[in-house]
Amino acid sequence: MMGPDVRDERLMELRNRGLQVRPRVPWRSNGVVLSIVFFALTSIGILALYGFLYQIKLTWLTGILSIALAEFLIHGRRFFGTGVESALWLGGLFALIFELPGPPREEGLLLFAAAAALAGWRMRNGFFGALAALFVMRYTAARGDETVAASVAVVLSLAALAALGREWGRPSTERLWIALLIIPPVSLLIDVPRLLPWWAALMGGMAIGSLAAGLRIRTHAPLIASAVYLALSTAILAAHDLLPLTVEWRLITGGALLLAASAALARLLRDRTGGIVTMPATSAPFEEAAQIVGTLALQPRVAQAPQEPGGRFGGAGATGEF
Amino acid sequence: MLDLSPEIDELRTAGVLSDRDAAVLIARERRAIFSIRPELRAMSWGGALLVAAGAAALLARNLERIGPIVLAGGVGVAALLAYGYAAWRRRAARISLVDEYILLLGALLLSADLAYLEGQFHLLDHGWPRHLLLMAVVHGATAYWFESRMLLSLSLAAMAAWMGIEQRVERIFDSTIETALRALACSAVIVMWRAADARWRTARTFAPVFEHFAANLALFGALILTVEKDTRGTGLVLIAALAAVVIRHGFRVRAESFVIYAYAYAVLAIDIAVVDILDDGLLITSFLLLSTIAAIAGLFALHAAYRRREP
Repeated sequence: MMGPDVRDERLMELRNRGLQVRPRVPWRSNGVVLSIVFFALTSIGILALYGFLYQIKLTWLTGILSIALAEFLIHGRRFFGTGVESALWLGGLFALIFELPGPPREEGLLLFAAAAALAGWRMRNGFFGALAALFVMRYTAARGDETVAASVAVVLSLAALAALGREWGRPSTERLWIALLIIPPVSLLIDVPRLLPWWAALMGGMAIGSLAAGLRIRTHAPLIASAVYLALSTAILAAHDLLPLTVEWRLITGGALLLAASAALARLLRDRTGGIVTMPATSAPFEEAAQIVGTLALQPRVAQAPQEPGGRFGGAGATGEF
Repeated sequence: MLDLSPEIDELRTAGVLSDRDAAVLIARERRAIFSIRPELRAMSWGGALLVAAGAAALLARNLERIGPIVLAGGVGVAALLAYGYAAWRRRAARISLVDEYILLLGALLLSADLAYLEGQFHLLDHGWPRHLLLMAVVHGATAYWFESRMLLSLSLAAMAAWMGIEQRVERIFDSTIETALRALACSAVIVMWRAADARWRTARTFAPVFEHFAANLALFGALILTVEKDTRGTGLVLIAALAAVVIRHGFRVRAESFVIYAYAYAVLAIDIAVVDILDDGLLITSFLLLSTIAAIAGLFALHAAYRRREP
């Protein structure tokens, strides 16, 4: 019993969408937010275990105990997708790598990539699969070739885009393709200053291709990837100062274009009840909360001239020091 | 692509789903209906934030070239236009999903403009934090006028800022008892505001915003008291009591997010308090290991209890 079979996974997917599935699936899993919370708590636990074993000079046990506990929870308690067992698997493998003798070397990144891939395969976790790709990309970037890292991201995205075009039985397989489509290009944002201007054209092409594919196969992930590639393309042009206007007018123009495009699309599609529509579809309980938190965190702030020493305040678009 | 329509059809046959609900879900699974509403909302939100960021940069970088009056006037007019557009659309029979973000843009531009005016002209002199109170009032009034949760959250954030609570996580460790008391006072004000809202307004759309702000500010204040050595005991008792109230509220209103973060605040408070008392590395790591295992088991139990109460 390695984990849920195809049917179990599909029923678990429906259960995570809030449907009361029958027959009941024997596997315990959590929704995204709760999984992240359990993953974080378990990671803290692994660190504490490492710290405890460090005091008694037995740190090599951390990885073995973590993976053994993960397997016990999977086989004995039917945990799969709770966040706990995946943190134990990934943390356990990372702890084993930390135990290897010798000084830190760039090749260590490839070991972490292998560990993430192994944990991703065992836990059928798409994010771990993308993490493995990120370690490979960082390895190539660490060797001074950001072009190879960017090429890996583009190739992975194209492969994932092609894979998303066909039907998959397991939801976890689809999640792997989604993660490989979106996460590698996001990680390229840190390499933007080192990418030559022609990359902007390629990223622009990827944005258009992803948009077209997303609308054709009617899937959200390529649309998100399209936005990421568009941001990458713009950032590369901005990094090489190839965009017209000053920064403030670029921001205003870009924002106005986004608002105008969404208003035009909303108007164009407002009466449609079939095909591509704008009516509320699947529930997104955290969408508004995320936007509110994002607005409070990212709202522009205008610094005020200091008047007296003291505290520092900020909020609602304003901040100041006094 | 994933297509779960066979399983949905089975649920319909088993009587779990009605024919109508199953038909809608199957249409979505087969992409006969594909809503791009989340993408349009994200685009609009990003657009509003980019324009507001650009306006803030414009204010900051062009003072000498353009002059403060023209700059502040220009951004003020843009804010008024955005508010005017939102008001006009509200009266129209058809409301677009973009309208709320135009309104948000107006509010962000107004905030930036007010802060800029105060920074340049020191209209309130040493009482400059009062411009935050002004923002809280303006955003609060417009939130009610437009029935916008987004503006209400801006209003509450401005009020918290006016009361001296800064939006930085690391404040937990460098705050004073005074900050904690301010956070608790601000939470109490929001609870009273929520009570007034419930008393005089029929719609309950603002309640979750009030409740999340009040809960987080109160728990944050109690956590700061726990970090401070002099008030640790009080802080621990307070955070335990507040976490219990917030978790109970989460169960009552069927919102698990309250349960999760109240629990997380309480666990963090206990860990901070105990680790500070211990001075031996072995003891500290042993305690953290055991407390984390207990925290995971406790959260599983809470989650199971929450699920059992589901209708």
